[in-house]
Amino acid sequence: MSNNTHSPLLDDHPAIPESPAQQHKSAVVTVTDPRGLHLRSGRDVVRTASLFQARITAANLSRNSNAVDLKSIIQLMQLQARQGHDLQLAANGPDADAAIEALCSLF
Amino acid sequence: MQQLFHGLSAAPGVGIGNIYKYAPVAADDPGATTTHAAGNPEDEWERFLAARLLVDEELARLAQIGQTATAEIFLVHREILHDSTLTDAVRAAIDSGADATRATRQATGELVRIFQDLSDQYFASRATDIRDVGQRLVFRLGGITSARQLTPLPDNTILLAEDLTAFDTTHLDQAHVVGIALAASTPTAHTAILARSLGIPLVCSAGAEILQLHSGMFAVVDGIRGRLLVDPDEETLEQYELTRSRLRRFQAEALSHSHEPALTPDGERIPVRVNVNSREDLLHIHANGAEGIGLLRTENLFQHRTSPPSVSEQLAAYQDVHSYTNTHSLTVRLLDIGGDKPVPYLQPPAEANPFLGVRGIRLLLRHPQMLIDQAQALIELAQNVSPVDRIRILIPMISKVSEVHQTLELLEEVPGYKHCRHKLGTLEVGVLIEVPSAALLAHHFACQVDFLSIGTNDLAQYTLAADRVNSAVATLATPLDPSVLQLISLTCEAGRAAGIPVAICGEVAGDPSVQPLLLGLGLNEISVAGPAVPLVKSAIRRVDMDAARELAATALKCSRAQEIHQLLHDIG
Repeated sequence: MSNNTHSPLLDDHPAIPESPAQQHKSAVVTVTDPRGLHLRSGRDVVRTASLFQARITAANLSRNSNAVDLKSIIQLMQLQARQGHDLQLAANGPDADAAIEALCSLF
Repeated sequence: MQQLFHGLSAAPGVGIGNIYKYAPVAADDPGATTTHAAGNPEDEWERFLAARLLVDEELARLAQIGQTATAEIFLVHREILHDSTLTDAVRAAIDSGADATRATRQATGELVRIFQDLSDQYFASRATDIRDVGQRLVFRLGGITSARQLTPLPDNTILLAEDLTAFDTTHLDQAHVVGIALAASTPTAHTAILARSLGIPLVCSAGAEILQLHSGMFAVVDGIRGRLLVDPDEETLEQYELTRSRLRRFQAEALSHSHEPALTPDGERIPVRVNVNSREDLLHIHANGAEGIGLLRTENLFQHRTSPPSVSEQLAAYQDVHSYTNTHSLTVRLLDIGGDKPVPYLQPPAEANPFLGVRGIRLLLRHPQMLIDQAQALIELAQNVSPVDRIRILIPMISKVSEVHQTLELLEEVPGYKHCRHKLGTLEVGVLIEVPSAALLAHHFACQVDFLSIGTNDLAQYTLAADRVNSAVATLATPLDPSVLQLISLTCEAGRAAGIPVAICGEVAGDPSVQPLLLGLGLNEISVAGPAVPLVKSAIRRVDMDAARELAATALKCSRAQEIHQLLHDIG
């Protein structure tokens, strides 16, 4: 995956700065890896997500999928994310901003 | 009577033996669970954690031994082992009264079903990874798994199954399994990677029909051509026995030199490339030591949609493929579609016999814009590559000289074509020789193109009027028939006279033993399935060109395919 093709889109909330304990952050990223978000690249995503306390989910907008837990490789695979698919990442928790920033850098 | 099943080559080699049909115990089959009385949930959870620790250590060990590709599998399996989705489900089952073994079977069984229902094949086949981790856990918990079903096995076992997990493959009785045939799976699945590293010939995607076969039947797994033969006739069996002994001799050596170029002892360099059918084939180009792509099929880009792909869409797809070639050439076959694969936006006419109907270039010349768009995308790619990694356009299904002329005239009009082909030297145009008339007339158009490529599968079918998928006549359509060799020879002569290279991209080219004959006939480039690359390169390094030309001259005098097989045997 390359990290330069898509910048995260801010969601509706950040207009009002929130207290750190209640950060909400979301972003849309596009899968650029020709092989899609396969096991190996998925593992990197899961590992990164697991570094944060925030609850982090992802939904595959291109497949209209439900949001899944991004800290689980098993759930991540169920997104069936192929190259070109748009994923909506969302984080909730004290380090949500940092989590989304770190995750976006993987795409 | 001999039965032939076509599949895909996933690990090279030839295995001869008796079928053992393996049906795994379902992950959540309660009958497979040992009658262990469930202790209290805390004790069962402790048992699960203890088993998980053992599996984790085992996977860590496995990841340290094998090659990088196999190591990756085990690292990913460790990830699944610790995944909260799995462990939460096990915990929930234990809390509702199941013992650790049953809870593991239930949890993994449910996840396997979820994955099997996914629409995308790559992700659906991740079910195998989950089943694999489940098996390891159940094994450590003392339950019945393939490790107890697949060991020990009798001598010379041909293992037949729907699919195998990496666990199955690492636990099977490796000393006694001489070949594997799978109804499903792909050449890039973990099992295929492991089979290659274990040196066990493997044919996959052979179709559900093979599951009708019985244990004990005598069979040959041809991992070179991707075939399963049951009850082979005497002559065929003899051929396979010869091939097998030849292969054993240089298999080990081949793998250690796969990244070196294939030079004959006389110093002639023969590029060995790969045929690419799917995205997955791309991933192993480098690992196998292939020098670029000798045949990229583009049908997938055009099917299952309501309008043709745009130039930019195609360009992106070709750029993607090109990025895997590692500064080697990329040969792209123009859309080769006919009535057998209807594409709605082309409104194909209903045909009684699509293989003799409007297909390949015949179809493209009826829809010139499609041809122009595809060429445009390839030319745009050629404008941005270095002259060493050329883009080659391959024209399929040529049967008339006029079709070559019409195609070239259309190409001339595409912006950038002349610049790339004549100035930059990054674009080449070639003709696929797969219809006998094209071979017979090749000398009339060879001087107008940059290369020829012989598709021996179709050339043999069209020459012998025999469908190679129809097992009743498939053996007639052998590319080693003297009639086909005559056509190959004519094509090579035409190429030589015009000063252009002649390639071969049919499945026969993947057989190491035919390399002396192919080079002797005058072929300059070889394109094969990925796993065959190391063995083919190794065989080329043994070809004495003078002897090979003599062999080809003798072969061209033969009247029967059997004599040609005999010749190859005598020199092997």
